[in-house]
Amino acid sequence: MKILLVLLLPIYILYYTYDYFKNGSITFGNIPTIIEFLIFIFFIIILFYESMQENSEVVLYKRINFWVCVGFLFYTSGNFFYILLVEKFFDAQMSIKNQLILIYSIVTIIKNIIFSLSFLIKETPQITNNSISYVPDLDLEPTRSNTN
Amino acid sequence: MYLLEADPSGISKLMFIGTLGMLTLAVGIIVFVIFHQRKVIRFQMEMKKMENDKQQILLNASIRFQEEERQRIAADLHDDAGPLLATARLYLNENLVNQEKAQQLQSIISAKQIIDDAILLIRNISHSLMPPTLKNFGLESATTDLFQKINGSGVINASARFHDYRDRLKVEQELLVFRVVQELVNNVLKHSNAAFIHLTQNCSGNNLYLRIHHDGKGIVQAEFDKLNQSTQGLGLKNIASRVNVLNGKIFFEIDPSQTYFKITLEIPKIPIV
Repeated sequence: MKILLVLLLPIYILYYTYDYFKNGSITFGNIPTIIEFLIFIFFIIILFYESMQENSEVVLYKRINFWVCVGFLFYTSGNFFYILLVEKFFDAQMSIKNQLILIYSIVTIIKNIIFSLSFLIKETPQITNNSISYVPDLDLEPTRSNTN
Repeated sequence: MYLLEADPSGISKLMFIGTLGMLTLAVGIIVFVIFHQRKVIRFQMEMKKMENDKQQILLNASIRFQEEERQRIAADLHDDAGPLLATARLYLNENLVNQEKAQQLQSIISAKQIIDDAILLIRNISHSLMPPTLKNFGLESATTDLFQKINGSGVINASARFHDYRDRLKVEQELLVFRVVQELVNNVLKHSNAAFIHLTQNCSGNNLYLRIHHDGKGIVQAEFDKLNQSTQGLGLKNIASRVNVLNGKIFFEIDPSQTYFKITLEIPKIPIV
């Protein structure tokens, strides 16, 4: 998955640059942002899946990185439609624009709260069980010398 | 599509519903992940507990076996070697010097005989603890020797054949394997009423295989596992713990023809360095 992420990054940068020069710096290009959000959601789900497969004794919600991912998931999924439809609202009334800003702000505030809470989590270190299963030596020690 | 082509208020509705849907989906994913992981952790903990319980049973069995072995040796020494040496001492008491020459000689001969018996007895105890053949010549010789002795008793037809044992196992491994074989053979002799017992050895990949066939009463894997979990079957627990130490596997099967039982030992090879 890391390889996929590394491969996607230059492709995304190239596309973003292409979109920037195509539309000009003044116009807002929402397609690259939508792609960015989709990549984010995809990799967060992959990360959750990998965490589920992990042989760990620490529950996910006691890990900082889990809550950081949750924050990003909220932000990207909550603002997905906002970014998708933002061009349609350029000429909308101020009251509708305010509604959009409200939704955007609520999602962003939730994300920030989740991020802040993640810093309060005290991560318990993973206990690795290195103890060897002990089976006593059953062979009695004395009279080992072999004198025929 | 209709909503996309509609006026800004329609699009606003679409955005509101879409955002709500996406957030619900996100919450659903998070809740699912958390609950699934908790379930997995609970399952792992249960498995670990079961494994610990099993280890505890094996450990207790091992300790009990060790104690029984010590008691047996103590009994052998106390009941057999003790009286022999005491009798020898009686022959060699202080009055010996006051006795006649012929009587002195008789006493010394008797004492010598008793001491010889005591030496033989102690040697037998020592050999039962660590067979010299195993130490000096390895598993193949010790096992063949064991089976020849059993066959020599005339009670049962016993034979052992090693097909591929060019690379000897580590000494500790050989001892453990030999003990397992000894215990299995003892069980067959004690409980199965078999007419024959046959051992074959072979290698495959990095594993060594030993298979014991006998035509008496035997057990299958399910019974072995059941006895292993219960408080009964000390010998079987001892076998299981030794196989565990060897990182090996043991299989108890009955032949499809239902005429004889098979016990197969699979041991990963660690040759002598």
